[in-house]
Amino acid sequence: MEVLDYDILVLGSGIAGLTSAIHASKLLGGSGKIAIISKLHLMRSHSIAAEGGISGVLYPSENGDTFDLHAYDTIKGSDYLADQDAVESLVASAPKEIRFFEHLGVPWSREPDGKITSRAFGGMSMKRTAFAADKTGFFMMRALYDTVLGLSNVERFHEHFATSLFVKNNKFIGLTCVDLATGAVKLFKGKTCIIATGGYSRTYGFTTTSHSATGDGTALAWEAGLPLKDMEFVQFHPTALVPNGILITEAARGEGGLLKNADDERFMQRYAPSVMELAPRDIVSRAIMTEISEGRGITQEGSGIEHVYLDLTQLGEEKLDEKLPMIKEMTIKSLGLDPSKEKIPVRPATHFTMGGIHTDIEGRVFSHDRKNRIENLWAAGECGCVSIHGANRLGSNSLSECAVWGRATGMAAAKYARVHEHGYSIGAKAMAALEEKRLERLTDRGKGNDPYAIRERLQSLMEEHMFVFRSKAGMEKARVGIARLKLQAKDVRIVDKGKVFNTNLRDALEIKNLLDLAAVSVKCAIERHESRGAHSRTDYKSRDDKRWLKHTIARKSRTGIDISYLPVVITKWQPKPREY
Amino acid sequence: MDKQVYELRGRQSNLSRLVHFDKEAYIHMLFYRALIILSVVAGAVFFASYFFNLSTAVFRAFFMIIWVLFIPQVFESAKGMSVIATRGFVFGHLNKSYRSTAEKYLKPRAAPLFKAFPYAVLAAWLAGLVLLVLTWFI
Amino acid sequence: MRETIRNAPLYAAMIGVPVLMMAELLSSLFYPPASAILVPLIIIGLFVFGFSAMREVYPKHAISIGTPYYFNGITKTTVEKKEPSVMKKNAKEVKLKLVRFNPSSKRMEANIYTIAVDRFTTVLDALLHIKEKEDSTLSMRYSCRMGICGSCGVVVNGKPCLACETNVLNSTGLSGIEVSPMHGNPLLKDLVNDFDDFFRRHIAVKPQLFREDKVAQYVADAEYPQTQKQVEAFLPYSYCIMCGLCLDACPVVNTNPDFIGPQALSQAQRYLADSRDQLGTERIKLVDSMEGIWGCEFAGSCSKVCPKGVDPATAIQLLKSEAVDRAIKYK
Repeated sequence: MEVLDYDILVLGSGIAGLTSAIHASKLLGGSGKIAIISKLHLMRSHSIAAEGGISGVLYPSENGDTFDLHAYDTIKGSDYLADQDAVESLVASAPKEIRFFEHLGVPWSREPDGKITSRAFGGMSMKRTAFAADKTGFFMMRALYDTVLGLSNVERFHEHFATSLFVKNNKFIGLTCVDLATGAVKLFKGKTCIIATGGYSRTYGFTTTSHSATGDGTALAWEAGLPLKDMEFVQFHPTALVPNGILITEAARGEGGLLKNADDERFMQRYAPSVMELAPRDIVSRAIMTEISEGRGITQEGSGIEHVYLDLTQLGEEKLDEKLPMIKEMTIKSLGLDPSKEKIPVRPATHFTMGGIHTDIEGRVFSHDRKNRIENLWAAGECGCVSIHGANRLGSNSLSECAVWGRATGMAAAKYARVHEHGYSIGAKAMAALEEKRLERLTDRGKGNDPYAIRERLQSLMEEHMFVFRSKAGMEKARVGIARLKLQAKDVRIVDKGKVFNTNLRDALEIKNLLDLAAVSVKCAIERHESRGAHSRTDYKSRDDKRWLKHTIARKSRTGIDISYLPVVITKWQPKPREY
Repeated sequence: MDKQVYELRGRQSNLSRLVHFDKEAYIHMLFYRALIILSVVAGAVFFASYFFNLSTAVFRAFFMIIWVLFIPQVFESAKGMSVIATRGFVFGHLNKSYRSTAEKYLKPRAAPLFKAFPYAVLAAWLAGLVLLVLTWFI
Repeated sequence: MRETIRNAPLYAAMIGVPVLMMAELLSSLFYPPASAILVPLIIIGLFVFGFSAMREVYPKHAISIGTPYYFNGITKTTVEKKEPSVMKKNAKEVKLKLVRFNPSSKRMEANIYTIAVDRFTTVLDALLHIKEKEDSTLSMRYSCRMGICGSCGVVVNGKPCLACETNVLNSTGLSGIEVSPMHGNPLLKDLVNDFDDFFRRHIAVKPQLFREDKVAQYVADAEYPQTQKQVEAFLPYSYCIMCGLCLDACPVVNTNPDFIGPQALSQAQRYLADSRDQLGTERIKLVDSMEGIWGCEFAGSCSKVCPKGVDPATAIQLLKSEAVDRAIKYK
């Protein structure tokens, strides 16, 4: 087995991963080596699909916007579950990060005088979302990737699928990967590791995310015994294109798009009269699902999916070309309809997972005992949960989070790597050998269950019972169903016996990860007896700050899933009823 | 274990792949490759005509072959100039949304002229061919 | 700017020979004595053109990267299942011929599947359906399914395109639809191409924003001013999603893998045209070679297949004209 040794391992190559690698590389200089490991090509991570923009108060003196206002919007949007110290640090660093990306080459849309333009976004009381047309994530990813190419101390490992994470005595010691191109198992040892593998929205079938958003890093952490936080909160984006779930950015509404039901009525006036379409995503999603369930939806011919309309016709062709070119291109290519002439069919789809690996404000991961931290392991971006999004993320805050915590974790890891020697890691090789054997046995097995059938069943369970509205009975059904699927997944069949680019094996491993995370998510959701943000229950309809203003911490135990709670950090803003 | 990759590039026959999606480029490439060899041959033949008594038919035949083979080259060269002069706003395949927003900044006013230019050059070149046939054979 | 100067005769001959031939034709009609000068000039022009273009099209190291190539004809065709497996409601039956590369036999193989599709089904949906329901050994790359990650470049009915953006029904002819891997990038397995070579090309043009003030670049206190017009100057070239389709379409890369290819050159233009970049003429020197801009024969097929409208062909012609400009200016 090939053993590779690095100062910093960055697992995942989205915006958070690449940002952390760049800053770590800068700080380490010539004195250390960094490896970026991705299961895709580095520049194809799901961050590339981010459309609308990145939030940050760029010119505070000019339009009356302040950091406090941004923080307040974020906290109100999160239904007061966000940790307020973390939110304050986010809003303070975000503008700098936007400028940093500008320096790497992102073509931000500009004002005539050369300043960066902002646009309105849901839940934001001011225009504070910087954007590059509707391909913001794409441009950021390309700028980051290109910058990484110029760094001599960063090595890139394309298409290496991580299969296990080794944590011993509260220290990270290494991880194993399958090199997809050759099928070889490799052991990566590292002084430090940053997990930046993104969310697990693919536990649902109808989702705006890539096929690759399977939360592998989060699942590996879970497998290694690390606690996860707020796993019940899954964001549903109100406007995903029907029937394929492609994201229609919130910026479409920010630029003036209207939501309409079958009667051609702007139904948002009944749900959020003051901000209408620009309410936070959880509120709009619930509104759309209510419209559909009350019979004011439209059934799409061909797919049979019920939806409402997003009307962009009044924006005009010129504005669409300038501000939303990708939306136009995609609706024309996938549905054959031109958004400047016709209304487009949309409905809510899974978009973001607020929960993730339990970290402190610096992104450092907590260990199994929930008190100590693992000193050389960080999590950044969607896979971690610093908790700035709380129960519901505001649009365009995710890119800021990736950039801010990408930088923070990269710097912290580099500082750690500079002063620490390579630790004790004799155990790693033995564990990796066991892992290699396990994968071999998995591939060699002649018969068993079809992994794709398991995934299909999981996705339909999650969609049926864990979607926008949740009930106790439904979630129990999901819990039982997932437990059964987990048993089946212990005995999967890999048809592809080859070594070269065995995607069948990769899929089977991904599906196991999805099942683990779905089980935790469902368990946490059952336990939370209230409706808060994206977690909306039909049996507990209101928010209950007395009992439930706290984070859910889930960890692996001998009997299954062990749930405990952690108070929310509150600095300036006391919880108030959330009205728009 | 090293990665094993397999190379299908490096053969002139790969040009035929263009037939399925870009016939214009296929003709361009084919004529260009023929022209390279035949231009040297024709150069040699013309040069030889100073020392040996070649029939005018041979001279004319080669002159005409070169003329025909130059058709796509003449057109594409003129097109290339138009593309450079207009930054791809004529004959380019720039992103559609980009085109409609950047037009006001970058599209030169003479764009229609540049659009017509390659066709004019091509017409002149074809007219020359007709003239050639007329003067030599009638 | 050495190659720019070395290539000047070729480009002069490419324009000069037709002009001279036209002049010769006209002179034979109106002023025959002129032939005495024109014919020698044409002869010289033809020689210059022929010999210098030969260098471009038949280079010395025609095949220098990767392992030797293999016969790419299809050796085995299997017809799978006569019964269509139903994917969607209101479905239509379609015959899908899947050409795949078998790494153990090093041969292309073809299977024919009958699948049922609806009006929304993309080629990627169809391939995923085959992978999940009929043959799990099939390998291909895919991720975002919305045409932005650039994973799923394949060849459909002979035309390079993204599988996720190609509608099955719209691309089905009388004989069905054919999906095969790209030939313009080395093959790995089934529909999967190896991209290491592609990435090497991209890195070769130094695709980063170069600034003299390295510290200020990272501290990022204020933005570099740039007007919307300056943004538009490089914007289309920055749309590149690195899918590799332009290399697959490029006849020059297909016949001479030494040519760096349209993707890398379009990225050179992207950074050259960016008003924030300070590498300047150095950038042109990186691509000023036969393997760089001067290898391009302006077939234009790269731009025809580019799914994002990057228009590499235009980018390369702009680079050429810029190279000539600077060669004259800084001689």
